[in-house]
Amino acid sequence: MNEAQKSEWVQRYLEGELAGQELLDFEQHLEEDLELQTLLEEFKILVGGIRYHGRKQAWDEISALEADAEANETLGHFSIGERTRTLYWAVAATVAILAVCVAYFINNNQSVNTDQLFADNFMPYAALTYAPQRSDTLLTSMKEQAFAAYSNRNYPEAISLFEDILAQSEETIVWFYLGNAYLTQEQTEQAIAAFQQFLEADPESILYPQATWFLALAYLKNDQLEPAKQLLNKLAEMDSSYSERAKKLLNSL
Amino acid sequence: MTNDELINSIYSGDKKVLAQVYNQYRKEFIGWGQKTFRCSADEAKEAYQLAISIFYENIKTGKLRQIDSSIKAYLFAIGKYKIFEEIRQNARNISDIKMEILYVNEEDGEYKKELEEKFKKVEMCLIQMGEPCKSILELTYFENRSMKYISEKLGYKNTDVAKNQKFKCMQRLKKLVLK
Repeated sequence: MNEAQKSEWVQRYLEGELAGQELLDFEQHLEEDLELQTLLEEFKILVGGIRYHGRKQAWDEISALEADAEANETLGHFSIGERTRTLYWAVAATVAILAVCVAYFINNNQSVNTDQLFADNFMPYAALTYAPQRSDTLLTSMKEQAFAAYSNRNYPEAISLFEDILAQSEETIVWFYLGNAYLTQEQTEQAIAAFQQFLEADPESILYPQATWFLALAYLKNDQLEPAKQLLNKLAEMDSSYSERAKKLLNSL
Repeated sequence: MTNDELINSIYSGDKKVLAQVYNQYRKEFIGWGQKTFRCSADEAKEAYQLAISIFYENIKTGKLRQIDSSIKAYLFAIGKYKIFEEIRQNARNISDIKMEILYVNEEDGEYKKELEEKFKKVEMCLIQMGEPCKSILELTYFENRSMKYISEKLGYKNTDVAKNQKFKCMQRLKKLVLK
């Protein structure tokens, strides 16, 4: 048996395809054949790595769901137990809205208040997957520092660190969080560029809807209503948890 | 939808259903975790993420096809036995628990530090290879799908063609990793 044939045998063994006599043959050969043993160990690592990758992707999807859930919480979905607080807020909001309406009538040359809409809808996306773990290389620890700054809401520092990382390597995901950080500082032009970069570099990313949402918000804040509407329409058609949000925002535009 | 229908939808790749399930049990689980095991809100949130991750992975890999009790009971059981009790009784912290599950050596169920490096390298090479190898290998070894399913999904003429392609992909991956 040459190496290719042994490799195939090992793979069939790892996939559970061997049975009966063939399985016994394999196990017997394994005891005596060093090359077979080595091949088995090598393929086990490969299989382990493939499974690790699949697992990590699945976990990243869940991370995104958690970030969405936290965003929804803070944007204020009141639960039944907080009815009284809701009432006070409703009253305060009504007064505020009336005041804003008066301000509109006095000094209004815009039919859509993009600043207000932006403020109502923007919440920086939580960087849950990138919570600091052990670091082995310099780049990993720069990444850790950057995300630590981001998670601690130290956005100016996060921006600076993210920019350093991007100067050195192609870390696509960093564009996404850099865009978020720029938005917190109202650097809308840079945010637009960052999200565009991310969407272009990784159109298959699970954060594609989120990035589209944030890009729309960036355009909105930058008073570019047409591109914002275009993206929101796209989101509304997508099969994503962001469709509802996009539709709601479109209604206000 | 019944529980089994929900699981089937998720197995077929329905992301909306996954999000629904995620949001459905989240608050209750977090409250229960805090009350019963006296952990912080953050710990309970992380625990929920981990519990759902395990649930989701078991569905994706074909291990979980149906549930006798309820999804809630399943999630809470994972929470209690795999996470909260480990934290309280064995004084583990949740990041360590996560690491162990993420980098586990499936044969002996042990976590080894060297595995972390090796798996990451394999992942890098896998991503580098791109399609169709990446999908074939993911479907074969992570999702444990049949050759019939894979050849239909990826559009191969028959299962032998798909098998051959898979073998070639594994050889390529091995070459890349050992470089």
